[in-house]
Amino acid sequence: MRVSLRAAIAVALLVGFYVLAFGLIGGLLALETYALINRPFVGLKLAFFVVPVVYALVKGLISLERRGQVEVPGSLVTPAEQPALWDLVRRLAADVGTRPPDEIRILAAVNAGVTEDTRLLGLRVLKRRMFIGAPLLTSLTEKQLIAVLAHELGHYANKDTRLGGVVVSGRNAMLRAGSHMNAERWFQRMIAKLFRGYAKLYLRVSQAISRRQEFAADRFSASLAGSSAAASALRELPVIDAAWDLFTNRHLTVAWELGYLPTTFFDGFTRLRTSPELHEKLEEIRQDPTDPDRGPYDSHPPLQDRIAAIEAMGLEPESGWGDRPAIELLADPMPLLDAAVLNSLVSDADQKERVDWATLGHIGARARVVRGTERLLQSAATAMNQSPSLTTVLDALDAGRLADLGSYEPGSRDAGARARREMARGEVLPELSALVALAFSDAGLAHWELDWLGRTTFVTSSHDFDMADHLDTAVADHGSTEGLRGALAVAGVALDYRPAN
Amino acid sequence: MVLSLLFKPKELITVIRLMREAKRLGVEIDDLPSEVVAAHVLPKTHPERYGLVPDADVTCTAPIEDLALAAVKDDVRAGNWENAADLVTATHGDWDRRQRVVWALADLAAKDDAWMKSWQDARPGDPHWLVVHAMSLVSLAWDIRGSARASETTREQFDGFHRVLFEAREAAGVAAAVLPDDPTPLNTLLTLARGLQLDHDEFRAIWTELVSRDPLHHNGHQQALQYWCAKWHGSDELALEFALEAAAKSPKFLALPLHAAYEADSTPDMWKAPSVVASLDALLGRLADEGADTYALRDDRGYAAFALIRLERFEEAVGQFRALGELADAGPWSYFEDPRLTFLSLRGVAVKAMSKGKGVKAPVR
Repeated sequence: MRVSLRAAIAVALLVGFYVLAFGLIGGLLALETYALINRPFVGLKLAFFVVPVVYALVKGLISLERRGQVEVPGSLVTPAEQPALWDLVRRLAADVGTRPPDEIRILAAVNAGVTEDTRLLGLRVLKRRMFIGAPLLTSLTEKQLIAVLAHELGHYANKDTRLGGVVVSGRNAMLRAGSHMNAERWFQRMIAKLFRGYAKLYLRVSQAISRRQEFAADRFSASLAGSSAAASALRELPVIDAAWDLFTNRHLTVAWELGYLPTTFFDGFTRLRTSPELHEKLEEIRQDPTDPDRGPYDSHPPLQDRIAAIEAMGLEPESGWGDRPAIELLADPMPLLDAAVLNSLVSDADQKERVDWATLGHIGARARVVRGTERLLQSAATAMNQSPSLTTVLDALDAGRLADLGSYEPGSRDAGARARREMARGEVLPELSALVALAFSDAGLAHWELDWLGRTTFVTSSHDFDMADHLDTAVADHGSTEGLRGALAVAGVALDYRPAN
Repeated sequence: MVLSLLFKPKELITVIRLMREAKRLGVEIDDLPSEVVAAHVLPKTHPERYGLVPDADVTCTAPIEDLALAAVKDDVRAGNWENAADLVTATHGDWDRRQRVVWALADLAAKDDAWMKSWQDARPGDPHWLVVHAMSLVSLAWDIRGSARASETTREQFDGFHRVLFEAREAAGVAAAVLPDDPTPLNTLLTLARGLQLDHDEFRAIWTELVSRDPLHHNGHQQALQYWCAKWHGSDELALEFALEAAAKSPKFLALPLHAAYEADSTPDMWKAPSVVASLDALLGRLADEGADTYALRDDRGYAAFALIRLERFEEAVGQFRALGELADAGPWSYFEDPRLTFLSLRGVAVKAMSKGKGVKAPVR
């Protein structure tokens, strides 16, 4: 089917959506009026049905028209601040045959895009914005970045039909359909279901158009950056995505709740991306790129298909583009990129204390260990009616209170005290071990190191940290904490140790 | 489930009656006492007309079989270990009884091991202590694991289960080395092979050692059959093969092929296999001269009755129920949540079918 015919059907469906809703409202109101005039009693009863349905329908329509008034994300960069980047984007827009964006914003996400503020079903454009993810700028080559940006600008090239644009706005509206409905109410739920059923039909019809547009946009990236750079950019995106995910979850925010952030951000990301321990994993993703989960109505064709199509074109790059890292397009990039990340974090990010990466890793790991010992300290304090400390735990063990220090239930209902004690042993041993490690660390005898994979290692300079046997004896039946106490004393760890948060 | 009931008027009426009963007693339908459920669900028969004990007399409490064992269990519960230790020592050589004694004491030790500590302190290095200790760890491991499905068992329960099973394996190994004649620690290893998921070769090595110490170890054969079942580490076919081999070795194991058929969920026709039927007939012949006064005999009769019902030989099945009398303590009923109810309902099925002249008549013996 030709794009224009499909587009026409899609637009007809879009219009049909309003017709359906208004038709239902009109029909119901007409029925109600007729009933009220001719059979007032029946009309009154009918009103119990009609009023909520009409209310729900109107609410559904409102959800279709309303757009969230959200703050525009990202850090704005002006042509004066970043002339090279702006020059590149303007040149790309000219090559693609569309007008350049009015704004460029740097995002803290593995993403790029061009959006427009539109009115009247996408017919009138108020402002065009380009978003570029900061991780892309630090990870791609200039040519790869060109491929990504050319793709995004390509969506707005005039070669896409006017109707195609309407179809895209229509998709966005349809995905919102019914989003304001209250699922608790039966009527609203039914109406939302009706809307969604229609929306599904629409989305399916328009899917093919959107896919065609994605392939068309890929053609722009291949013809400007060359097939090989365009394909490699597509391969690189899942790699950057995985690295960025690891970076933000395991490193950037590792001590967030304790009030710490790293001094600088992107030097860490660069070190993570190039670290030897991650090399194999990232190479795996690069060789076998899989699509991110973008939901069931995503318009992108599978990544593998896009890469194959781009490679099949076998296009050479336009001359004049370099293979240098994309970051060289930016003047003084690090403060800008770090600011984009800081902006993306919640508002109190600027109140965090900033520390170097090694300190941050230790603080984050230590906090996890502290949390892992809280339960043991608390149950020992309760059992012994003492304040929670290492001594209290050891005293509880010596008093034969092991079973009281556990929290897990054995699986059999007929299990006896011995099973309870055995389960407690399995629970207490690692916690006690963590508590002792913590005592060493807080006495300045050890610390934790976080590698870029997010694994922590306990590093101690003390030669006395061979506690395994002492720990086993401490929790054994008819065991004793004497050996452990002695070893701690020799190492210079205070027995009344109690972790501070 | 609810919909399918609509097409079975009789069952629907029963369910409605039970719901009404539950409402009257103010409990959920699943929490109704088994007596109440039995009264509504069981087939209405007249057991006494066929020489069977009345429903109300049937019990799943086993009578005391080993007086000495019962006495030392009481001693242990009172904190006295000496008689128990002496009994274990005295059973050396009588392997089937030793297995029963060790297992019963190990179950007690899994709940509370203070008496074991006293025994160990008073007789350090006692090899018989080691035997009970190893088995008690297996029992303890299962107390920690529970019998729920894997999905309803917590990670901590699994961790504890495996940790203690490894300790049990070590302890059983030590016991087997100290008592080179005793099959009991090897049977402990055989029992924990399932929990530790030993592969076939490792299992066969233990098996060879066990049968070299006692070729006809009763519990050992039952444990091994479990291992060879499809739900553990074998298959329906491997289990049957093992059971038939055992049955050929000794009439003591004639019921094992019936166990294999009972466990063969995915081969429901295994009951009709000629080899299984032949084992059943041989077992019936053996049982004809025996009573039902040991657990092992009741277990054999229970499986025989179950098999006879599956083969629609109802009259013979009723004969087995007659021999069992009021005792519903053994297998296969003991596998069910409410053994007594299972026993009664199957007995009812057999009696009803027989009274209507269904199935195969008993041959004249």
